Amino acid sequence: MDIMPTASLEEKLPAAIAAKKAPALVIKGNFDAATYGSNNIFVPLDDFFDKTSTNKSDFSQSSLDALKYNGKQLMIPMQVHSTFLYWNKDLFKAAGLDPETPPTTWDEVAKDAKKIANASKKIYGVGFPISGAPCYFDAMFKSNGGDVVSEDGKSSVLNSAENLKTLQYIQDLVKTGTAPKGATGADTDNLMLAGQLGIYCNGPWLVNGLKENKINFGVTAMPSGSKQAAGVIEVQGFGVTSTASEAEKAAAYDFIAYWNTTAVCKEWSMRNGFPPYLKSVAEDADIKASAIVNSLSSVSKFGFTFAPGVKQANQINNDVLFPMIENVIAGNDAKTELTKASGSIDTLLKK
Amino acid sequence: MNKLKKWKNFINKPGNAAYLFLLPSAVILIVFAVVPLIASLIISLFHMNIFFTGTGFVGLANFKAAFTDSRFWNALWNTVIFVLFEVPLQIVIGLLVANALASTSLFNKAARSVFFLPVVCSMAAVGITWSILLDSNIGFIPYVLELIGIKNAAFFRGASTAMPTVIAMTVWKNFGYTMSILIVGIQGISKSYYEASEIDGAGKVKQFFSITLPLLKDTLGFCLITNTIGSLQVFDQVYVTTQGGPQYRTETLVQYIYKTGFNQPYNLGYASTISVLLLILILFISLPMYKKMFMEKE
Repeated sequence: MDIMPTASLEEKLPAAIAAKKAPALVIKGNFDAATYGSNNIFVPLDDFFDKTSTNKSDFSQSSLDALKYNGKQLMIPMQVHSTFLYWNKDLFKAAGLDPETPPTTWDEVAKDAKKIANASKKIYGVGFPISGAPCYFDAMFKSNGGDVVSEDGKSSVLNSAENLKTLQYIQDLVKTGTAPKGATGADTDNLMLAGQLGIYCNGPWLVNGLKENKINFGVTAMPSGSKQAAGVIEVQGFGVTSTASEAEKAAAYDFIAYWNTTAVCKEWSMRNGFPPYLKSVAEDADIKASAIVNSLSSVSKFGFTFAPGVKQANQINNDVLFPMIENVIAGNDAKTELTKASGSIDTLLKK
Repeated sequence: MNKLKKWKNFINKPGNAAYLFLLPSAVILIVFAVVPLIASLIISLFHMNIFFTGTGFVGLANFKAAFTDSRFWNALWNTVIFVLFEVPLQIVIGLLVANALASTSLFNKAARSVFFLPVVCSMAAVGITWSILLDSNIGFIPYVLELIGIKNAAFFRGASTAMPTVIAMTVWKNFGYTMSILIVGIQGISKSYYEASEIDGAGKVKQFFSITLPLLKDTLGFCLITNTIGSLQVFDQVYVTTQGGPQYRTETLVQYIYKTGFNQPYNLGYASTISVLLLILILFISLPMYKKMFMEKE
């Protein structure tokens, strides 16, 4: 098994597939379904449930639907997650805030973060990465009543008053020194793990690092904006590459079936905090008793799929929205950046 | 038997045997340089992704797209800036240090080794090390600067400081190589010139400008051409430290080629086009330099 950062996998896998040296079994996300489906990189797995003893009805329908392309089951779920709000209880206490009461709205996030920030000690109230992180801004836009792509996926709806308000909110927190300027996802992760960040929206993978570093933290649902609470749901799944032989495909099916058993999925959730997508795991007493898994399972209340079925979703986030956020955080005019980014999205969607 | 005898007669002639000795290098050059070059030229005329799906001939459409692509011009500008500052700095610092350490004393030998150490380190390791040292939040150097009153030193994070930092790191890593070449050049200059000039009352500075520099012209020319060609292809240090940011202020041509070809939408055709344009730029700059430095002399 080859383990590598997502960015490395993104670069190496297509070349390996083109050279017919790709592994038979790969883990990718719902954002990649359109790219890998339209280029016939993954073979459809519609026969998986017939050929194995895995119970299809045990899966949450949304987890299966997220990994479909053109009606075909392109991948089988491996894990489901969203972003969640983490808070550092010790920094809350030091700032005179109740360590057991996290913010539930973005307005409260700003208020609490400003109290926590301490420039002289390099302590920040909240983190907004400019790259290499989950796309928290998609959730922030949604929570304030805005969006990025129209419902039919054919045009940009980024250039709205609601989204402008969201950008100005982020810009204000950076300008006042409450959020670090120009920090990548790795930087903000490290700040949180070092106890220098008060509030941070990130995925379940942060849980183990925070425990190892003995950070006194809490995790809860994403905060609400003026309209709703929102967090982008991401589903990672197992895909079988088109270059796999029949024997390799059969072996891949065996492993996917093994993974999607109650015991294995339960262990994955308990050890890493990922919310369960199998109904049998969600009903498990130990899972129900786990405070962290329970917090992370709140994804069903606020999770949404970003730009479903839009092939350019990843490119929109990485090549348009992240650079837009970076420019806004650097101090550029938010309205100008919003207009420019909206135009870029329209150009991308036309391709 | 006749054929074997003919073959033996053929390779026993010195001129013909030379071809056999050249063959391994020629094969490597053809396989790893000529074939990819020709392939790039051809692919640049196609719309092609890394999965080879939807491949189609588009003629010069990719080239037209490059000329209207603001990110391409930004990458070109960043590359030119990098070369304009990195190459002269590396040569000047390499020359000054080479002049100071040319004589064969124990100290000089030790100093040369120290300055050459960064050259043998991988650029990836150097980049990661400097990224940590210069990090605004956890770096040792910003911490020391804050102690002496210089706050918020951005280095790789600042839009206006990122490129100078990349340049400085590259010069630090590579000037030892230029220094080594120039030391050989300086040691090749006859000592009689210096002795004669001493008799005439010339000091060290006069000797440097009147003897060392003119007689190092060919070596300097070699350093200038090779450093320029290498700098135009700058990639490792940008990839490891800034990834082309902040705000694309350090994105160079090769960085842009890599992102275009190996990140979504994996557009190999367009990436090849930019590679061809970079090749043209390198030829445009290096051929006149070569002609000026070497061919006019002949």
